[in-house]
Formats: sequence, structure tokens, C-alpha cells
Amino acid sequence: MERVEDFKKKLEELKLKPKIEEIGEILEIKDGIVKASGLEGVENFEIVEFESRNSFGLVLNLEESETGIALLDRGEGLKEGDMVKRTKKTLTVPVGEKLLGRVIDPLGRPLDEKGEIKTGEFLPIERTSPSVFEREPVREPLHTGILAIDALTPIGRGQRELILGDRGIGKTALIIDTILNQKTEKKRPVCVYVACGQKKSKIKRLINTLEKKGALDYTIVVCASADDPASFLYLAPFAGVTIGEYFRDKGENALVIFDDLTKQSWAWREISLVLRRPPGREAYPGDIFYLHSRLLERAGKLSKEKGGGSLTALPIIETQAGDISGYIPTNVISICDGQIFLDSPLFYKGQRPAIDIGKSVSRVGSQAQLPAMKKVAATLKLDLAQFQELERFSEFTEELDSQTKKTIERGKIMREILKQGDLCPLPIEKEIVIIFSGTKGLLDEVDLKKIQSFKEELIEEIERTMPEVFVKLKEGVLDSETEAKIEKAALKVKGRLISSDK
Amino acid sequence: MNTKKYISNLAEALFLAQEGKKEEEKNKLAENLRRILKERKKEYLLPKVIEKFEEMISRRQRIKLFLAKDQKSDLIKKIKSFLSEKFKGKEVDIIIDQNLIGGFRVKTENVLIKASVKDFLNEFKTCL
Repeated sequence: MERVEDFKKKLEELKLKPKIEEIGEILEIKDGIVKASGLEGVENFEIVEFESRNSFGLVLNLEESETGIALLDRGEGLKEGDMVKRTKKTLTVPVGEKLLGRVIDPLGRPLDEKGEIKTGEFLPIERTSPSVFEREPVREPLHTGILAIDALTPIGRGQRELILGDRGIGKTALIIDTILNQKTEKKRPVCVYVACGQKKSKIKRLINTLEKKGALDYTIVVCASADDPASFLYLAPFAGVTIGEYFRDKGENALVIFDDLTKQSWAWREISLVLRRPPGREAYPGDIFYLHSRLLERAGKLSKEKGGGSLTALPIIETQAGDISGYIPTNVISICDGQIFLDSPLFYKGQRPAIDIGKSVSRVGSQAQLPAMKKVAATLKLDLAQFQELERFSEFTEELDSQTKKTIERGKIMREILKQGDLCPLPIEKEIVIIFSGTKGLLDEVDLKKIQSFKEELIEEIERTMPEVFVKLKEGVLDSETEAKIEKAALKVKGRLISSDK
Repeated sequence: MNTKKYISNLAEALFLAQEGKKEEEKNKLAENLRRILKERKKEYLLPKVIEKFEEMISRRQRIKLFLAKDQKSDLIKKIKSFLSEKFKGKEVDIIIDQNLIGGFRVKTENVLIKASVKDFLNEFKTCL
């Protein structure tokens, strides 16, 4: 009875009057792009609906007599002559805390079979970036848990740091370690991982890893896999950055990872060619730079007046045969605040992560390092560069003076120290201890094969006998007392390793 | 350029050229088209161009009025005249679609006016 009354009330309240819809008709469907006639007043980036299949499209081309629409699904069942109508809305994506731990597509629809996501809040996928005066300089560190990065090319919260490298040499592994390391960080950033054009098996493995390590709770995965339409690959990074912006604008920290932007640029090239936009260099459209610049400019550190939130971006670009002078890599390098270049020869020589220190840089640099790390890693890059020069020189001659030999030996030890396994990110305090031991020469007589054991045992030793060292280091303090304690622990572990050799 | 696109472009050109022209001028345009195609040895495309052109006319210059059932001729005349006036002299085609249950729909190239019982019921369903 109650239900009948409810229906009766709704029927009475409903004002039925003729509805006027602005419509068009499909002229052509080709490669995920629909050409439609009509739609006279349609706006650029507006969403249109194909009523016959309850599917949607995104308006990308406005021509005199037809409109170019990118399909937002496979377009099955659509045919010439079908009606398309305006929704008078731009594309939005759901945002909010309810997305944490979820896997979604670029339209915000869940893919993980954990039920509907009811966020109640939506933001447009295309938004303007914060202005110059709404930002402040990047000073707070974002610790990746990877020794080579945190010591040599430190990343700050609000920075854009590009990760470049050939296929299969550890770009995604680096990213996973970064996400895992955020678990124990202060003011932990929300992580948004955008899988753009990746294999579904790889995405599944990544999600399983994050779930197993307890990192999925603060991560959102936006998926546009390799078999999704090109429009999804184009939109996925924008959806990811919009989700991250929600947290940034609330005064929180967010980290968004685009894996990878090369696939997005291929998708945009595909869409542009089908839309018959004039192709430029390497058949990319003329606005390929703008595609990435408007995406990456949305990352940044906001001023206190704007809430003080930050959005850090880690875009990934896949190079071909190590060529960082390609069109897309050079574009994105010029947009970002630094790059981490992963080198294939280093990878195959066993140097993992295979970071080429010479070609990697962080334009924010030590401003985004804890004072303690800044202190211990101050001359590390220069020392390693010197070592590499001398190592090359030593290939031509065996007659070297003792200082050169010492520098080479120290360099080999540092190189060994910087090696790190997969899924083993180190908290910053442990990194500082390890780098300190290396740069102070406390490992000088240790066999290279025992360096990894030394690292583990040193951490164990300090945890067991002087845990206050880690507490102080986590605050960024490295005073002479702490240095003395670390030295003592290091010498003890070194002694044990050397005597076990004998 | 593929043949389908070529035919489409020719039909579009003919459509735009004939807009606002008198009957004599339209006939001249058609003759010019036939001559051009003959010069390019593509006279065999003429029927397809005309077919595409007529499709464009139907889509852009005619209004479709969908009714649930046939009405008295006086009423239909009034509706047609009203619509022609509203939509700048376009001609009206009447289509009977019993699925509408009652009321009507008006469809032009750019606009769809939904005023049928079926549409009202759908709206009520959405509201619930």
C-alpha cells in the first residue's frame, strides 16, 4: 500500500511535457571513430549518447557538416543511420575516498567485481592546472625506497620525474617499489596507478602484489588495457590525474603514475589519423606536445593558501633501443622536472635498478632531500662519475697509483651498494645508514659479493642494538653522535664478515 | 580518395550548390555534374551520387512526424503547415508507428521532439 502511495505521489509530482533533444545520425563508423551528421550545437569534448545501444562517445572533431566522435566502448551493434543525441555534459570521472583500493576504467566504472562505487562527487577529466601563484616550490621529499634514486636523483612531492627506458628493464618494478614504500611514510600520499595500454596479465600481477603487501588500501588503479579502444588509452591518464587532483585540492598528498605515456601518444595518433587531422613528425598530430604538457602541468605543490596539497607525477616513457632523442621522449623530458634513465646494457650486466646516473637528473635535487640524506649523499654523484671515468681508463693500463686504485675500489663498492632487489624498498633511515657506510669508506675491505649481506646485517644490528638511530634519522637528523653509532655498528658487521671469510 | 568518399563529396557539393536555387538552376547543376563525370570517365557513378544526394535531402530538408495512429486529414494538414512554418519551409513526412501508443514525435536533422505516451512512460520509469 505504501509503495502504491509512493508511486502515486511520484506520478503526481512528475511534470510531463514534450522533451526536445538535439540529435544527429551516424554516417560512418570506422576504427572506433563515428562520423555523425546533425548535432548542430554540440560542443568540443561533450559526451554524446547512442541511444540504441546505451553507449557513449566523446566529441573530438567539429566540422562544417559532420562531427567526429570517439567511441567510449567497442561500439558493437551500432550501425549507419542510428541516432546520436547530445547530453550537454563534458566527460567527468568519479572521485573520492571510496575509490581507494579499487580498480576502475577511465570512466570510473569498477572492474574488480567488488560492487558499485558510489562517490557522489565528480570532476571533469579536462581541467586547468594551478596557476603560477597558486603553487609553491617543491621541498618535501617523496621517498621511493630505492637507494639510487633517493640519494642521487631525489624526488619531491609535487615534482614530475620521468622514468625512461626500453621494454623489460624494470620501469614498472621501480614504480611498484615506490608505491610499496609509501606504506610507512609520513603524510602518506594516495597512489594512483594508471595502466595505459598494458597487458591484462601484467596488471593482474601488479594488483596481486599490491594487495599482498598491503599497498592496495591506499592505491587506486585506473585500467585501460591493450585491448581497450584507443579512446580509453587516451583518456586513462587524464582520469588518473583528475582522481589525484581531488586529494591534492583537499590539502593531501597524491602520487600519480602513468604507465606508460608512449601508449597514450600512440592512441592519440591513431585517433587523430582516423579523424584525418594533418599528421606531423612520425605521423603524430601537431598537438602531441600539448597532450602531455596539459596532463603533466596539473601536477605540482600548492601554496598554503590553496591547502598545501601536492600531486606528484611519475610518467613512464618506453624508448626504442635506448634512444632518448626520439620525438616523444624529448617532448616529455622538456616538460618534466627531471628524468631517471634506465639503461639496457647496465641491466644485462646485473646492475639493477639499471639507473644511468650520468643521464639521470632531478631538477629539484637536494631541496627535496632530508638534511641527513643530503649530508651523506652530497658528493656521491661526483664520486661515482669520477669512478666511471677511472674505470674506463683502467681498462687501458694496469699501472695505477694507489689513490686511483682506492677510488676505483670505493666506486665498485658504491655501485654494489646501489644494487637493490625487486619489491625491497628501503625506508629512508635505512638508506641513509647504508649510504653513510659506503661514502665513509667503512666497507673498503669487504668482498664485493658480501656487500648485500653487509647491508642486511647492518640494518639488523642497528635495529637490535641502537634503534634510536633510525628514529633520529627518520626526522632527518644526522649529528656526530649518530654518526659514531653507525660507524661502530658498521665496523662490527664488517669485522664479522671479514672473519667469516677467513 | 576511396570511391565512397568521392561519391559522398560530390553529393555534398551538389547539395550545397543547389540550396536556395530555382528549379531551372538546379537542373543546370545536375547537367553540369553529369558532364564533369563524363569528362573524368566516371559517368557510372552518377546514379550513386544522385542516391546519396536524395538521402541528404531526406535527412536535411525533410521533417519526419511519427504518429501512433492515422489522424483526420484536416488535423494532419494543420500539423504539417505548423511544422513547415516552424522549421523554415521544410516538407513533412508522416510515419505511423504504433509503438508510440499515443502522442507524437518530430524528427529533423538536428532535433527530436518527444511527446509520445511511450516517451512519457519511459520518463516515469526513469523517475522511479
